Amino acid sequence: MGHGQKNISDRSFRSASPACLIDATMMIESFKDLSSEVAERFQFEALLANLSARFINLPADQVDGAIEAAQRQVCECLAFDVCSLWQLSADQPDTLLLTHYHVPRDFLPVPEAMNAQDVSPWSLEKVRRNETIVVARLTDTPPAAERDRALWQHYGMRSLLTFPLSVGGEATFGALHFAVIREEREWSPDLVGRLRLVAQVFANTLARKWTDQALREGEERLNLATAAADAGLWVLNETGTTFWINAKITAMFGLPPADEIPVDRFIALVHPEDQNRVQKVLTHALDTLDMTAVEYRVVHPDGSIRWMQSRGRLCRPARGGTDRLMGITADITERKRTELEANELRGELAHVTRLSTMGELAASLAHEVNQPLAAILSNAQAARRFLAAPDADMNAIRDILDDIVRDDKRASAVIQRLRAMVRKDMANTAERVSLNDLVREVEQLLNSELIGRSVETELRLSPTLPPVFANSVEMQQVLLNLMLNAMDAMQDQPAGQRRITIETVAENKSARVRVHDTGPGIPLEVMADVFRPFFTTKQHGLGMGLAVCRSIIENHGGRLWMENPTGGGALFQFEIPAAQELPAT
Amino acid sequence: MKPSPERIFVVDDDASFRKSLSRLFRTHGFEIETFDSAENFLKIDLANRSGCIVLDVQMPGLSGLDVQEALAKAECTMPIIFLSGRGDIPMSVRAMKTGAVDFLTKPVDEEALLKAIRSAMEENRRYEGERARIEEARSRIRTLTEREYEVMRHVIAGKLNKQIAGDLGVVEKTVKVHRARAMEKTGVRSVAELVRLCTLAEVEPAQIAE
Repeated sequence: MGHGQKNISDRSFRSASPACLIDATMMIESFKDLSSEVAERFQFEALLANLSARFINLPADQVDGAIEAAQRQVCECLAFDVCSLWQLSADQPDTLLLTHYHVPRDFLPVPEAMNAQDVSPWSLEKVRRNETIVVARLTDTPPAAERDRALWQHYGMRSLLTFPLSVGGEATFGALHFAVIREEREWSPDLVGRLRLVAQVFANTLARKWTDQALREGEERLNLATAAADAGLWVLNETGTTFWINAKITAMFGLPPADEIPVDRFIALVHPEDQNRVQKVLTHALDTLDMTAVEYRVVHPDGSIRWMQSRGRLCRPARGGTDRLMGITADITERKRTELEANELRGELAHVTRLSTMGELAASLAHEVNQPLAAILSNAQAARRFLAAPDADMNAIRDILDDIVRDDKRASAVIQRLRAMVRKDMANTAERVSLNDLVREVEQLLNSELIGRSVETELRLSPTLPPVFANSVEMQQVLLNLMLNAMDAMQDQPAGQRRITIETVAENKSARVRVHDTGPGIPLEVMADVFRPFFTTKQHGLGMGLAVCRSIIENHGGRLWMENPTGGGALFQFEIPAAQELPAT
Repeated sequence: MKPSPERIFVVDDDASFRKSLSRLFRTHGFEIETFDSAENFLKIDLANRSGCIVLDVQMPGLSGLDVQEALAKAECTMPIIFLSGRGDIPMSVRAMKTGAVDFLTKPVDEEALLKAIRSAMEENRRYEGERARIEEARSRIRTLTEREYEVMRHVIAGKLNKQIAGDLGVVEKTVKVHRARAMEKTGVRSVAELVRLCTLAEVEPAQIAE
């Protein structure tokens, strides 16, 4: 082995062409007196150093040319005949694509793609396992390499060396192949090691080129998307004090052209009523490097108001540096205007149907108020008699007064609930509410009606139900409607068999309410119609109840649906997204 | 049996109202017993109670009207004053038709309530007096033998001794003896008195033969 190794060294040194790197040649000149082995080593080390330096920060579009130049240099320097770089096809299995090569002028034509499973299965298997193939003589290869041998012989290759290409411990994506035609060559472990470095440099360079390409494509797509969406682009700097912005943003905000805007200045442009909210979203986004969509108004210098929507996310810079927040902003004024108009109409309709529902409940509600009033009156009359007695029992009178105060509060609570339900509430007054609380409220409101109609209720409220961001009056309207419908559905059931079960369920990122009755269920032939406006099975129904309920729930980003479960009765359920930590009110 | 003292039985599911009403009634010197549901009220031994009932119409479970029905079935004559939080007319009509003393709407005025209570108590007493007289008449009639009882039923049907003898297949003299015994045992001095006694005790006169 020692002999052979020397032999190669001599040979490779002798066959080194003048095209070898100048600095390498210079180095060799200056080390003439050194042994040829040492000289060869220096020569190749120099080539390697030069390659590494060249490939760092090489622009993506120059990578392919640089790799082929380097392949030629290595071949000339080490007296190899062929150096080819193959990459596994992403689309076709077992197919290798020839992407970079250096071959002799009179070399046989090489296919651009080949099925390695057919022509070199042994090599393919080894490369896949990330093993280097070192062949000094074709006769040294095992019987399994029969087809591979045929291929090599076809091209006249006598010694060869193949390195798998991979980056960062990931799967092999290709192979770098060196071959000698002119003679058989022994491969010293030292040389193999250094050539492996070359393979690694190529692999890293190619990987970086792909990343750059992907990034550039991503940027192009983003530019295209923002242009199509009529959106502006921004990036928040590391300290969270300044936005880098594009021209679209300055135009949307009515600003003179600029590349950046301080965060303070941006906040000052936001409508005073929205500033607090936007500031909170930004602070939260800086903490978590994630930003949910936020809608806010911007006041232009001319006083006009535009609605904006901004959303952002974490952006990891391609070439190191810290993560930062980047995002897009779109002018949603038109959408917002239509939305507000539709919302206003929806609110009106909800109000009208609410009034009609409360009208139906008038007698029950009067009962709810009369109950405490009756207690108050009797207590007051009793107190008057106590006072008329010669030695009035002051303690007894104090107890009576306490009871009167308590009942008075009870009556006014009913009236407040009632007032909330009939109030015309046009503004979008959404707040964080617990559906559990609302279910209890509505059950209270319906107390007398439930007793009067001999309907029992069972509440199964989830203790882990997430709060929702909703208009509580409208939510109560939905619950009220579903419960009244359930009561109506059960009126032909015998008194002891009328039961409404209201269940709340904590779902993944949403809250669900299930209202289940023990009535006959919804007849199949009308199931498709129950949510349609003006559909009613009742004598005096408006037919808007469920249609309005569904529009309320959908307006809250949720859904409302019904089914006849196997256990009997009708089951209406709705689901609303859980309130996020932000926006806080 | 000595009747228990007169009481007001308050049946209402609203605790606060029960408490306030009891307070007020006590200042007027009434004895009160309260119940939070119709079911709990119907559990007590009503035969030994005396007074009137202040009954909420609308309660979970059995309603006030259900209580009225149950009392009628049990031949309990205690007068009922209905209280309702929602003054519905059809319901009050139904209640009054089936014998309620009064139907008042919450919140109820002290004077109206006391007036209703007083007339209910009066009615209760009248019922009880009547019941006592009926009981007295029945106990007197229970002292008769079967034959004396039969003869009496014929007498109050207005039959002559001769006809009775024919109907019952006995001699006229026997009828005379039974008739005199029946009058003596029941302590009446005329046929007219005997008729009144039998009416009170709900004794059916014998059928007049063709």
